[in-house]
Amino acid sequence: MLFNSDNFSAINQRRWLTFKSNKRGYYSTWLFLLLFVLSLFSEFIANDKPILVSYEGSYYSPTFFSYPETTFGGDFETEAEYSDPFVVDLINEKGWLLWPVVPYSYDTHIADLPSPAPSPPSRQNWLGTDDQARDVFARVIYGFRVSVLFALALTLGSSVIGVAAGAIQGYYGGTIDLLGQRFIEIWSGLPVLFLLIILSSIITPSIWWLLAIMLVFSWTQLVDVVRAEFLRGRNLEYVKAARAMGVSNSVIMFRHILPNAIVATLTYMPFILTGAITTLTSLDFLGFGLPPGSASLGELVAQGKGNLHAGWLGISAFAILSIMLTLLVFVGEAVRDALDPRLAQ
Amino acid sequence: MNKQTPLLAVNRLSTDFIQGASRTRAVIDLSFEIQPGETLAIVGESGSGKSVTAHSILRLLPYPVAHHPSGKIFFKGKELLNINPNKLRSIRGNNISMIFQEPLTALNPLHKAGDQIGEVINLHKQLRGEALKQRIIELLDQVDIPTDKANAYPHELSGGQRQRIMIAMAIANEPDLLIADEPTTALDVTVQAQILKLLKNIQQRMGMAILLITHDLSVVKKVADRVLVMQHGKQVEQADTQTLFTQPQQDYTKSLLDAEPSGDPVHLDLNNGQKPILASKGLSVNFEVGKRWFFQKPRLFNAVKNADISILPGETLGVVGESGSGKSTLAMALLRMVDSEGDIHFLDQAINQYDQNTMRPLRKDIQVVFQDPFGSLSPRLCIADIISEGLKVHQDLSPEQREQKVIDILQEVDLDPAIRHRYPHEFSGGQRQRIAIARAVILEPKLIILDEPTSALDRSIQVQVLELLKNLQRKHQLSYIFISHDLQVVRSISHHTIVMKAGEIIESGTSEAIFNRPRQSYTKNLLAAALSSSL
Repeated sequence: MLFNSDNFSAINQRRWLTFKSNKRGYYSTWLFLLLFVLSLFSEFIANDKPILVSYEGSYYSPTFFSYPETTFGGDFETEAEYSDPFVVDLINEKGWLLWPVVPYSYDTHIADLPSPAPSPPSRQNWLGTDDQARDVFARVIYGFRVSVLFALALTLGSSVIGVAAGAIQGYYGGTIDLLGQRFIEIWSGLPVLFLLIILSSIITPSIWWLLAIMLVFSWTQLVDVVRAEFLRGRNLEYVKAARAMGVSNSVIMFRHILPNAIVATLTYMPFILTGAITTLTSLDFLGFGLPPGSASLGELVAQGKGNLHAGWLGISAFAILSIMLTLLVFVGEAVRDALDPRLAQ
Repeated sequence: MNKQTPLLAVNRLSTDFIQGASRTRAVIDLSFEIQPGETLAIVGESGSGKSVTAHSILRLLPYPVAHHPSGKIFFKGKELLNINPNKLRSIRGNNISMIFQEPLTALNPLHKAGDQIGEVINLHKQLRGEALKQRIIELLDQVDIPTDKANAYPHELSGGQRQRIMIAMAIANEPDLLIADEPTTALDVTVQAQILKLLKNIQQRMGMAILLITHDLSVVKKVADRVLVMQHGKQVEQADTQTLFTQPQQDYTKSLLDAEPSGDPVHLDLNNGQKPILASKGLSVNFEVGKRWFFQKPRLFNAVKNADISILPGETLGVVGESGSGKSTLAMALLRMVDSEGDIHFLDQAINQYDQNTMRPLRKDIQVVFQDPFGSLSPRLCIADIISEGLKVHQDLSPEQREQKVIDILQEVDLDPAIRHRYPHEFSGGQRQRIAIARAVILEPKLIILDEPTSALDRSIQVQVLELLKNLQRKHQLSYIFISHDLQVVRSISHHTIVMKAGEIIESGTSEAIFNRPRQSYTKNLLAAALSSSL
C-alpha cells in the first residue's frame, strides 16, 4: 500500500539519488552487502567438509547431509571425517572431492600444524591459527556472519517493540505517556552490561537467550524518537480529520502517523545495528557471550589480548571489526542524509 | 515626485531555482522602479514570484540553488546583485530593511523585545548605554507600544504587538526602503488596519519608500501609490493604484479585481416547526492552565463560555471572530473531539456525554473540513484512499462499489476522476480543498463543519470553493457551520451569523441583520476594518 504507485516514488527517487550521490556511503553499502552475502555462504568458503563428493558415480554433498563413513567403504557407522587422510584416500580411489577454498571450519582443530598453536599466517592458514589450533580466517568469516545476523535480529526486534511502545505513548499521551516515560527513564538507568553479565551467569546463554536478554534492554532506544513523531502527528489536521470521520485509533496510528515515524526509525537503525555488534563483541570478549566454541569476534579479541606475541590474532580481530563497523557507520550516515528533508537539495 | 534617480531600479530581473536537473523560473524579466517616499505594491496569487522578487533585492535566497541568469538591481545607483557580501551587509537593515509575514517566527523567542531592537541599531550605529536605551524607547513610542514592553519576551506579546516590534526593528536605522512581505496576512482584520495605518504614518514622518508584497487587494487599495501585478513570475500590469482599480487593462487584473466573494446564501425554505439538526445549550469548554499541585483546584481557561447555537437542516451558520476567540474550539466541542460541559443535541440525541465508541456511528452525519489544505490530507496516501477512508469505516462496500463512489464524488466536486491514483503533493491548494470536501461529502453527512475552509486560498480560488459549497448545499440539503475570520466570505454564504469574542457569543442573528445593523460596538469595529476601503 505504501509504495504501490510510481507517483509516490518521486520522493523516494530523490532520496535514492541523494543516497547515491554520497559516494562513500553508496560504495560502503555495496561492499558491506557483498561481504554479508559472501559470509552467508561461509559453508562453501571455509569448511572441513568438501562441497561435493563423487564416489562410484553418485554425488554427495556433505555440507548439507551427513553420510556415514561406510558410504565410502570405511569402517565406522559415524559420519565420515573428511579431514582424515584415510577417508580422503578411500574416496579418491573411486571418485573425487571438491574442497572449499579454505578446508577448515570455524571449529576445526587442525592436527598437523607445522608449529605449535597459535601458528603464524602461512599458505594453509591465511590469517594463522588461534591458541586452540583453529583457522583464524575461517573464524573471522563465520564470526562476521554471526555478528551481523545477531545484530539484524536484535535491531528488528527492538525496532518493533520500540516503535509500538513509542507509538502508544505518543498517540495517547497523558497518563500513559507519563508512566511510560518514567518507566523508560528508570529502565534505561539500569547498568545494562552488569545485568547482562549477571543474567548470563544464571542461565547458560544460547544465542537465543542472549538475543532475548539484550532485547529486554535495547528496545528503549527508539521509543523517544517515535514518541516525538506521534506527539506531533496526533495533532496534524489529517489525523484530526480521520478522527472526525470515526476511524479507529489503531488504523490512524498505523496508516496515518506510522509512515511519518518510519523515516526517523530508519535513520536510527544502522546505528542501532553497530551498537548491537559492539555489545555482542564486548560480551564475548568478557566471556559472557555466545557459548564456548562458537565463532565469535569478541573471543578472537580476547585471544589477541591473551597472546600478545601472536600479533595476527589481535590484528585480524581489529581489522574485521573496524571494517564492519566503519562500513556500517558510513551506510548509516548516507541513509540519514538521504532521509533528512533539510539536507536534501 | 523626484523623477531623476529612482531609489531602487530593478532591470530585467530573472530568478531561477535549480534542483538537480530541473529548473524553475520563479521570476522572468521583471523591471520596476521605486521613487523615494513612494509605496509600490506587488500583487499576485501564491506562486506568482512576488516574494522571490523581494528576497532577490537583498539576496536572501538560498544561493546557489537560486541564481539570476539576467538582470540588474540598482539601489541609489549602486548595483546590488554583484556587490560584495560585506557591502551588502551594511545595506541590509540599514538602508533597506524588511519585515516578514509571520511575526512569531521572525523574532527570537529567547531575547527580550527591546534587546532585539537594540541589536539592529548596534549593528550599524555606534550607540551604547543610555543613548541606546533612549533610542529604543523612542522607537517603541513610534510604533505605539508601551515602553515597559521592552522587557517582554516575544511570547508575552500579541500578534499585532510582535508585528509592531518587527516594524520598530525595521525602521530603527531609518532606512530609505522598507520591504514588507505580507506584513498583515497573519493578523486579525482590526489589527491589520492598525498596522497599515502605522506603516503609513511612519512613512510620512520618515519619507521612506515601501515595497509592499501582498495578495490582498483591499490592503493595496488602502496604502499603495502604484501597483505591479504579477502572474507566473512575469509582470502583467503596472499602474498607479487609482488607474488600476478603475481601469484595469489586462484580463488577469480584471479577474483578480472581480474575485470578491459575493452573492447571497442558498435560498432556504423555512417551514415553521422544523427541528434543528444540531443545537447546543450552555456549552462551555475549559482548559486547565499551568501546573497543579496535589489537591489544588485547577486554574481554568474558558475557551468557550455558555454557547447557545442551533442549526436547521439546509442552513449555514457563520461563526466570525478574531483569532483566539474560541471559534475552532467551539467546532471541536460540537464534534465531541474536546470535552465540554452543557447540552449538545444532534439528530435528537444528547451527545454531550458520548465517548469515542458511541459517537462513531454518528460521525458519518457530522463531518469536518479544515483550514490548511496542505495539512489535512495525509501525504502518503493516494487520493482514492484518502476519500474512501470514511466509507471503509461506515459502509460495507465491495472495492468496486467504493471505487465507483470515489469517481462519482470527484466529479461532483469538479475534479477529474483520473486523479484518484495520485498523491496530495501534486495538487494546488484549491484542488486539495476540493479533495477535503469530497472526503467529507462522500459519507452523505447532514452537517459539515467548515473551519476556515477558504483562508489559505487565493481570492479567485476562494470564490470557486464557495460556489462549490453552495452547489453541494443546494443539492444535498446540507447544513454548514462556517467558521471564518473573513467577513466577506461569511456574508456570502451564511444565513445566520454569530460573532465570538474571548469565548463568548456576543452577537447572534440573521446575517442580514448582523452585517447591516450590528448592535455591538465590537461587531461594528470588525465590520469597519474588514469592509471599508480606506484607512
